[in-house]
Amino acid sequence: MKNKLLLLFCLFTVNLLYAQEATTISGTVTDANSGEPLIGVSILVKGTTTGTATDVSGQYQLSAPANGTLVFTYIGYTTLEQPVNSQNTINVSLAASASALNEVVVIGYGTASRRDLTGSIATVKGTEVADRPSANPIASIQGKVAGVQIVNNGRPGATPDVRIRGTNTIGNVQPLYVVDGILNDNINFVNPADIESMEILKDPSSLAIFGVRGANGVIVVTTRRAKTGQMQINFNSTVGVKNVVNRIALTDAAQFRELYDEQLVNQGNTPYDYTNWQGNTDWQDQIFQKGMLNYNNLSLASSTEKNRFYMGMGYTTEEGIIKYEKYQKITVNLNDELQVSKALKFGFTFNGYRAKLPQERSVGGALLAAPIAEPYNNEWGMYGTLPNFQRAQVWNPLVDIELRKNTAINYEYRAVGSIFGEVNFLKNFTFRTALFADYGFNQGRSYSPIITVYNPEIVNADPIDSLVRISSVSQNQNIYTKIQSDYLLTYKKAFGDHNLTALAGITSYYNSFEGVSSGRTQGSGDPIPNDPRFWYTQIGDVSSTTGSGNAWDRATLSFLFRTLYNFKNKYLLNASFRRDGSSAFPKNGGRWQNFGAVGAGWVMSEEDFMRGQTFLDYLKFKGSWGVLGNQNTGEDYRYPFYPTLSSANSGVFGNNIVPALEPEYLPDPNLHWETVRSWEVGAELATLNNRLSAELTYYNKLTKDILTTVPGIAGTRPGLGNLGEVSNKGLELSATWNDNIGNDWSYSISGNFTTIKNEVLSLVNSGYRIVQDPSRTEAGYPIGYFYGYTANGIYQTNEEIRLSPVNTLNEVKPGDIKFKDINGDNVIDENDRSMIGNPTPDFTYGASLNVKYKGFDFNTDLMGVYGNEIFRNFGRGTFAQFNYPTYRLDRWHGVGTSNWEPILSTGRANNYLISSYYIEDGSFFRIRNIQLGYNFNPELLSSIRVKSLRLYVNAQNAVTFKRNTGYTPEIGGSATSFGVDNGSYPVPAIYTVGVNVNF
Amino acid sequence: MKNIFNIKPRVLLTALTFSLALSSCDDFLERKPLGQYTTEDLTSGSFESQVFAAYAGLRHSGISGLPYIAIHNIRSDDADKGSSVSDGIDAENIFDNFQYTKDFWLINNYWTGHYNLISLSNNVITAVEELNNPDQATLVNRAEAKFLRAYAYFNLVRTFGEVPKIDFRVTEQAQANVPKASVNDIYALIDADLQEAAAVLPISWDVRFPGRLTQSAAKALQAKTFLYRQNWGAALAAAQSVIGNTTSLSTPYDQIFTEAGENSPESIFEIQAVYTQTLTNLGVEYAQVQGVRGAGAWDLGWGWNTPNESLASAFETGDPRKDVTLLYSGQVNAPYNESVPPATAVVPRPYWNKKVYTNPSVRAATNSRFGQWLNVRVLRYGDVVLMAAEAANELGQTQDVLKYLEMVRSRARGGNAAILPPVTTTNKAELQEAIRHERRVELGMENERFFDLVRWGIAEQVFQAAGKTGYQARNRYLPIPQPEIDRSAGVLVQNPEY
Repeated sequence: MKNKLLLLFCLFTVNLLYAQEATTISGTVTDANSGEPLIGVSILVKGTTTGTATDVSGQYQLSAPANGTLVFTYIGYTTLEQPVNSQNTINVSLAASASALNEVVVIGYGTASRRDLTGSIATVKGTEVADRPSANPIASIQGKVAGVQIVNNGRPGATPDVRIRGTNTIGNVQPLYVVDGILNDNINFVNPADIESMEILKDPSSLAIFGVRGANGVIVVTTRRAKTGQMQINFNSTVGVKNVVNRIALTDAAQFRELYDEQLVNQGNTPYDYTNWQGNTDWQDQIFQKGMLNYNNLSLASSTEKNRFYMGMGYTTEEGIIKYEKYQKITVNLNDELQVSKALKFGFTFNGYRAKLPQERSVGGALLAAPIAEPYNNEWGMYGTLPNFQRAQVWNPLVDIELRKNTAINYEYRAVGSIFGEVNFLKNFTFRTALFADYGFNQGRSYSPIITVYNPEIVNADPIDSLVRISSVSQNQNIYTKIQSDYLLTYKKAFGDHNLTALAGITSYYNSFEGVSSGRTQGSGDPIPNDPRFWYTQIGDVSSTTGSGNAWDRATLSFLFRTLYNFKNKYLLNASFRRDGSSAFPKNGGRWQNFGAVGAGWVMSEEDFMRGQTFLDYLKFKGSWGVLGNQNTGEDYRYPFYPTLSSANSGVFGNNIVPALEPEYLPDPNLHWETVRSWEVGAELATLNNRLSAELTYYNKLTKDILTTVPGIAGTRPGLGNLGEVSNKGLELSATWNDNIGNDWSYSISGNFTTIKNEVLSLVNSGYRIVQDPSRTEAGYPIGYFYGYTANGIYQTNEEIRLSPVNTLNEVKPGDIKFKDINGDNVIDENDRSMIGNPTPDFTYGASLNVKYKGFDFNTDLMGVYGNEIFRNFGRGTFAQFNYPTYRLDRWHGVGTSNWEPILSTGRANNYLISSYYIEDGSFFRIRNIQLGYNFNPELLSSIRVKSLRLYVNAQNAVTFKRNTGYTPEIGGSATSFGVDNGSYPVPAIYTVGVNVNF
Repeated sequence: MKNIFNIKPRVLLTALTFSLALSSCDDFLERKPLGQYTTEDLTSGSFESQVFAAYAGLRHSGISGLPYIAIHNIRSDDADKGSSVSDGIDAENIFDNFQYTKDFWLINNYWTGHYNLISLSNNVITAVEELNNPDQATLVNRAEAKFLRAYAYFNLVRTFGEVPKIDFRVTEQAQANVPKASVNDIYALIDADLQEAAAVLPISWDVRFPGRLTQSAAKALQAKTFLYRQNWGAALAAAQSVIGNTTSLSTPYDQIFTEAGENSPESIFEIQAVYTQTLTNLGVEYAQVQGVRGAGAWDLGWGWNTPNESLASAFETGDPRKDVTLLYSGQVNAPYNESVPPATAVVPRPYWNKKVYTNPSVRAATNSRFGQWLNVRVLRYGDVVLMAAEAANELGQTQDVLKYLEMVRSRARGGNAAILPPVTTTNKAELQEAIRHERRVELGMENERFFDLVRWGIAEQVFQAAGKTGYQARNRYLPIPQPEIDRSAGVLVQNPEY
């Protein structure tokens, strides 16, 4: 080192005399982080066109004036300008730039550098979700990633509805989750605080490697590992409160009486006697509460040269917004990696999880119960019934919430673990073998008490109604097992300008379920007490014992292959292939299926003709095409090809029961998994010194051979067949801007925008449709669209009825909804129905803003959807009388009083038909999250041996601008019936405060 | 190069494990359903099990629940919708005022329930037809399935008129999408099915199977189908072969409809149900939907299908059958001596259907007030005797008419000679009146009346007189359910009268 310095000094003094002349400069360019030489770095003499590039050992040589400046540029690294200053050797180190281009991302069965990939992969860092008030990490992604639509569910511990790039199919549209390599469909056991990053894979070239499970998209979750360095202990805690901010406006007692009296007159019934019903109850007030939540996490990470160890523990309690709903969970995450020698590495991961599930409650009863009933009767000390016009169909909501509180004890346990071994041999080969196991146990027991309520209408006897006359208990246990083994061989080599990474492997997957349940009632004995100690099916009457069991299993064996190739980092080619064999189909049938994809990319910014410009730091064009598969047939068809005979329906003769066998369905002999053929093209760019990066992609997916169960015509029950095609296409645009203002301020703004156009191309045969009123699925329309009449005003007078097209569906009178004569034949009949709404949005968007100033940081996330419709289905039934939503106060009750709200009368069947009267706009905009935090100065903290301390306050779902009357505009559902509001559970606003400490 | 020696064993090892893996991978991927049978597991004696599944189809709500009751009985002049005044106003408009709509849940369920039974029967029939040499027991199974299919089609053709005829096992959706067949075609199928059933079904079954279909059931149903087509000769022959040499009806009238009277000698075809504290999924809703609509211990059900004044006043003075058919509100009722709550303004029903009135001790024992255990009586001897009387009258065999009428009336009298004087007239028109009257009071609230009125051609006058003025000729048939027409995408066409 000393000699080098001496040499330089000499050269310097000598060269001083020749400052103006051109000199030959040489040197080495290395990576600032790893010290590795960088190949292909571009070096330009500033202001000239003289330039060169580094060779395979990172060395370069060029001629430049002694007072010139050399400009070093390399994709993924910050550009460096180095004045020559008459030196002959200039060695530089380039630092990886703030942009994500050089990042290593986790893809299926391995990792790769983002710039080598031709696909669309979005990364969400664990830090972005760790401090959000949601027990499920996926819920916090809402609005952050283009192409991913997340519909949240307000229940504590609930899993959100995730659709990646549209609704693919009619069955299960949930994406695949990969947690530290294990393929899974349920990630309740993952603690958001233990997550390092989540990668969302959306395009065919990334998904094809997942074969028969990749069609709906994949979310890869990587949990935290210790980083090289010392030991780090982290503690974070969040405390907060939840509140329902948007209530449904319902009538109070006085308004109810006004409307009900008018309705009875319209129906020609006798007026109602309210003597026993003098209450004025807001049932929503009765059942809602402010829920508290508290998350605590502690983690320990330690790493040395040879060993990396991480342990994280978390304890969460979260209440719901309905009384007595509480969710508690404990998670443990352990992982360790031991580098035995330079070539050999072993490791294991373990996730343990135990949760006490909340007793689910619904808001339905509170929306239907009449406000004129008192909730409780003090004289008799009991909850009251509802008036007789709804008594048989609706119970006092407090009966369920108070009398049945804490009567279901459900525990969920998961133990997910893996061990792996990795060996590097022959310089370029790596062989990795991993064995994963996931055991989930659910254990539950519940109690149904005797329920008596106060009924003021009983005369000549005690005014007590018995709703449930015998108490009963039930117990259930089940176990889900998943076992996976991977054997992967990777080859990585650079041949001059060619870089190749190839992967070949075998993976097997076994999935099984076994469940048992039993129950007993008190029988002829004493009532079973309301004390959890008694709630086992040992108590009660032996002769009343019921029980059942259920089991299924499935195995998959797959061969996979992938290459990532690039030439000079300029031309990229990714190809992957997978062959899956499944136990669900017979050997001679569709057991084996092949999937694959190919993707290509062109990094135009690496081309020679692009070297001169400084506008674009990075520009890549990419495209990919592939065939993916979906094996999710859901609960009903675990063995699609084996026609099972159900013994559920027995024959009865006198009092003798004889077992009966009945085919559940009739299988199609040519059954195979459905496939998604998709392609995308796009461009990624970074500009303005990597401060602005943007990505634009067009995607087009066609799902073929959809596995669909078609409801029978004429009482028949055909089974599963490959009978449909769905297409999804659209644009995704996302952009991020990072910048600093001076030394103290830094900010970033990012946004994403996705359009979705969904259409069912074919289903069974022309004209066939799946009808789940009000949703329909048929060829030529989007999945689950709403079909019905178009409401076109209200008939004001009989004269108007006479002059309008004849309504042949029902006899209409003034006050009824006038439907539009769509086909113009001057008659209103079933042919005047058309598409009245689409539950899939036209586009979704999100944005976030981060600002940092010294120790403060401020962050806000916004999101919205536009163009979808919601069908308001609560209270549409006529089988009983329900409470009225306040918009019914605008009802028609005379000429000119309303042209939208029909007359109050359950006898007017016309007004209860499916029509656009029930359609609401589902577009909404939400300030999803606002967070303000402060990082204490590390110098202040060092005295108490604390490395960093951050305090923050957070508000989630603070404000929602919506247009529907329900609690929330986010309404999920199945693939063919969603967006139907039956009084869905509210999504509350959550306010929290938290602290994050590192020791 | 020096690595070659290291490669070989490694390669060999991987190749070995690979081949081992491949050979066991077949076993790894062979998995059959756990805890369930598949068709490969079936043995030859399995047709009986499939027939029992068809019997189970009779418990479908569309066949024995509210849809059946509404379509067969509420529509008649014997009964009204019932329940409270504001409950089911849309049903009241349809079934009491004949303002039919094309998409109503009760009618849709009726259609689905009957076609479900047809589908279950077709499965058996086709499976048996595929056999080379079926044994006698299997042929009997097929005959049972044919009866059930005929029964389902008989109900469908009476209710809707022209309906799709599906008489094969459906393996693909598209096969079931067929256009309507004519009424004659449906009856031809019914005749053929019942012909075989009558020939093959046994006279009686082992004690393990009370209520299982017998030859009498097939013949009784045959007689009824002939009656509906005014084929008097065939009807009389079939009915008489059921009656045989019997000269009196042995079961006392007030015991026919009790729990103790299930599967009595009077019964020819009964839909079986069982319900206990532990067995709760093999019941029917027949009693529940008609049970007294009260509060507390008197909440016996929804209270639909209540008898009206028209039926009450149809009984002759002192006719004991009135007290067996009508349960009176606001007084003590035999035989259990319970006091039924009085009618109120909200539930203004003076009468309830007593033929679904359950025994309170059975209610207590099963811990249910809703009578899910009560079998549905579909065909019984009283009905067959009256059918014979009607056919005989049309053929002018007056002595037989009087004999049959007397059989029914003497059982109803129960030994009390002061009431129900025997019918003596020989005038055909008067006898017709007497028979029609007897049918009404003997089979009151037994789901026969509406179709009787339609086939006698007197529906319009009777309804006008009874106050159900909404009835028009086209209302003899219901419109085909719109959801079925939608699902057929144009193949199924609506009844042109609608």
